[in-house]
Amino acid sequence: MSIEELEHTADLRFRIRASTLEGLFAEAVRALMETLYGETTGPVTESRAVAVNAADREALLHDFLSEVLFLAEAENLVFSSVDVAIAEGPPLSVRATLRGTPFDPIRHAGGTEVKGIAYFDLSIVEADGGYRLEIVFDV
Amino acid sequence: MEGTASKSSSMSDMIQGVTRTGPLEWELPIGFVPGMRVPGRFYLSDALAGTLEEGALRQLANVATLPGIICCSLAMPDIHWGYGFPIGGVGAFDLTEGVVSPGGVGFDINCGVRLLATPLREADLGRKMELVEDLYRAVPTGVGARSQQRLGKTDLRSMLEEGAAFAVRQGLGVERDLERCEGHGRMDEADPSKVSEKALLRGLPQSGTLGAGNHFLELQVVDEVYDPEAAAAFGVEPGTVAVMIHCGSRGLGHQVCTDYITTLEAATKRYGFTLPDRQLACAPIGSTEGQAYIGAMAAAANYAWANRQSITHAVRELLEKRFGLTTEEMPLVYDVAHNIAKFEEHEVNGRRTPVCVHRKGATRAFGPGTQGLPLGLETIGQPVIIPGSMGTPSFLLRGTEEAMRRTFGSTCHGAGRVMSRSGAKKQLAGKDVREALRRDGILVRAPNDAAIAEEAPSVYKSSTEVVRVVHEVGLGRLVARLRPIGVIKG
Repeated sequence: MSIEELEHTADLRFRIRASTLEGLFAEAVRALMETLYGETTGPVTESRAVAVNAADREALLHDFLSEVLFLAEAENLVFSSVDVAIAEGPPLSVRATLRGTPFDPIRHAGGTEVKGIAYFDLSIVEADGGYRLEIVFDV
Repeated sequence: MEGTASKSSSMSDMIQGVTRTGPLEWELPIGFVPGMRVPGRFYLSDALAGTLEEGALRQLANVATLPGIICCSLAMPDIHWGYGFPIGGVGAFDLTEGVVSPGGVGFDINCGVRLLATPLREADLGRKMELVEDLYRAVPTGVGARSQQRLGKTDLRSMLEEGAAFAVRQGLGVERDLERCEGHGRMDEADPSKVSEKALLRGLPQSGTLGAGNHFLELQVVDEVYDPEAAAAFGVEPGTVAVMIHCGSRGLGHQVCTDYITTLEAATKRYGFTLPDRQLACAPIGSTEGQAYIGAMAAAANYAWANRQSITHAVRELLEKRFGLTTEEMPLVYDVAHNIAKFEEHEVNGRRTPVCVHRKGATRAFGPGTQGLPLGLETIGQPVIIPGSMGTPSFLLRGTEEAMRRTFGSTCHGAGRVMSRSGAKKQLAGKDVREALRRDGILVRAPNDAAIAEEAPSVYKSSTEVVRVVHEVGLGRLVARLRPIGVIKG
C-alpha cells in the first residue's frame, strides 16, 4: 500500500496503490485525512458509519470520500482508521466504519482545507496484481 | 474578436495547433480536441508562455465542446491547470441551447476579493506584528476554525437569500457597502430550498471564517496610482493602508458543488451529452436540474458575500478600537466574485443578448456605461481587484469597453500558480520564506509553516506581468498598485 503525491499546479494529486479495492479506499481516506490535518493522532473516541452506492468504481470512491470529507468538516472529526467492505453488486456499494478523534487545534493544524474531491482525471485501474488510483483534491 | 492568424512563435513550436492571432492573443482552432463547437482563445505574453501547461490548454479546448457555448472558450493570462474549466477560464452560454456546469464555477462558489480603504499611513500602524496577530485572532482562520457568530438555520436561509444585505441587517456593515459589491452582493436567482441539508450543516459553523489554502487577509499600502481620477472615484488615496480580504463560500459552497456534480452527471447522460471530462457534467440552463444548480449556486454565492461582509466587520471593529476610526473612514472600495456563473446581457452578433457567463478564476470587468455599475462610477467602469501572491503587489483596475467586446466583460483574477504545492514544500522551507518576506517588510501569520511554503511568492506567476497583459490588451485598465505589508494566511 502506498500514497505518492504527483505534480499538479493548483491542487493536490495522488497516486495510491493497494492490493485490494477495500485497501485502496482506506488508503484514499488516509491521504484525505493527512492532507486536512497533517497528523491524525489522538485518543480514538468517535466512530461513524458510511454507506454509499454508485454506478461505477470511480463514482463510488468519489461519493465515499466526499461523504468522509463532509463528516470530518461538519463534525470536526479526525479519522485515523477505517474498515471498508465493498460489494460489487449490483448495486455497487461501500460500507465503512470510520474511527478517530475530535479535532484538536494544536495537534491537527498541520494540514490544509480540502474543498472537494475532483472527478477530473479520477481513475481506478487494476495493475500489478492490485489496484491503482489517481485522484485530485481541490485545495 | 478579430486578429490575423500567423504561425510564428515559440508557443506554436511548443504546443502543436496553437496559433498566434495578435501580439498577446492566441487561438486553439476547432479540432484541437474532438467535438469542439467553437475555437479557444487566450491572452498571454511571451514572458508568460513558459508557464503555460498543455493540460490547461486541453481544458480550455474541452470547454469549447459544451452545448450552446457562444463565440469561443476564453482564458485570461493567469490560465492554469484546474479541473473542468481551466483556472482563468470564461465561457458564455446561450440561454436556450446552452448549459450550466459546476465545473465552470468550481468548488469554492463565489470565491472572491474585497478591498477596504482606510485613512491610515504605514507609519501610523505602530508595532505591525501586534496588529497582524490581533487580526489573526479577530478572524477565525485555517482548518477547523469555527464561527464566532451564533446562527440558526432560519438565519442561514435568510443569509442564502439576501447575501451581503443579511450581514448589513445584522449590524455587520452599512448600506453603502452593498452599493460597492458586484450585483449589490446578491444573486437574485438564489433558492435556498435547493441547498442540501449537508451543505447547511457545513455552512452553519463556518460563517465569518477565512478558510485555508490561498485565502488571505492582507494589509497593503497604496504605493502607486496610475489613474488618479479613477482612484479618487474608487476612494483610494496614495500612501494609505488598505485591507484586502480573499475568501469564498466555505464548506457550504464546496458541498453544493459536490452535490450537484452527482445530480448533473445523471443529467448529462439523460440529455445525451458526450463530455471529455466528468468534471464538466452539465445540464441545459432551463432544465429542472440546471435550474436547481443555479438556485443552489446563487445561494452559496450569497453566503460568500455575507461571509466577506462579516469578516469586514471584524476588521473594522479591530481598527476602530485600535486607531479610533469610524466605519465611514473605512469605506469598501469594491467586492468582486471570481468563481461564479452570472446572467448578463452581452452583445452577440451585433445584438444585445442575455447569456450565462461562467467565470472560473476570472473577474467581471464591466466597462463604462454598462448597467449595474455603482453610483458615481457609471463613466469610470467597475473596480476590478486583482490579488497578487503573498510577497507580490496586488492591483486595482477598472473595467473596460474592450473587455465587454472581447471577453464578455471579464478579466484575470490573480497571479496564477506555476509550481505545485508538493514542489513548493520540497523546494522551500516555510521558515525561510517567512524570514525573506520579513526582510522585505512583509509580516506573515499562518497556522503552520507548510501553509507559508505552499503559497510562497515564487510559486506564482508574476502578478505584475499578468496585469500588464490585461492592461495592454485592454481587458482592464490599471488604476493603482497595492504593496503587501502584513498577511494573515489561512
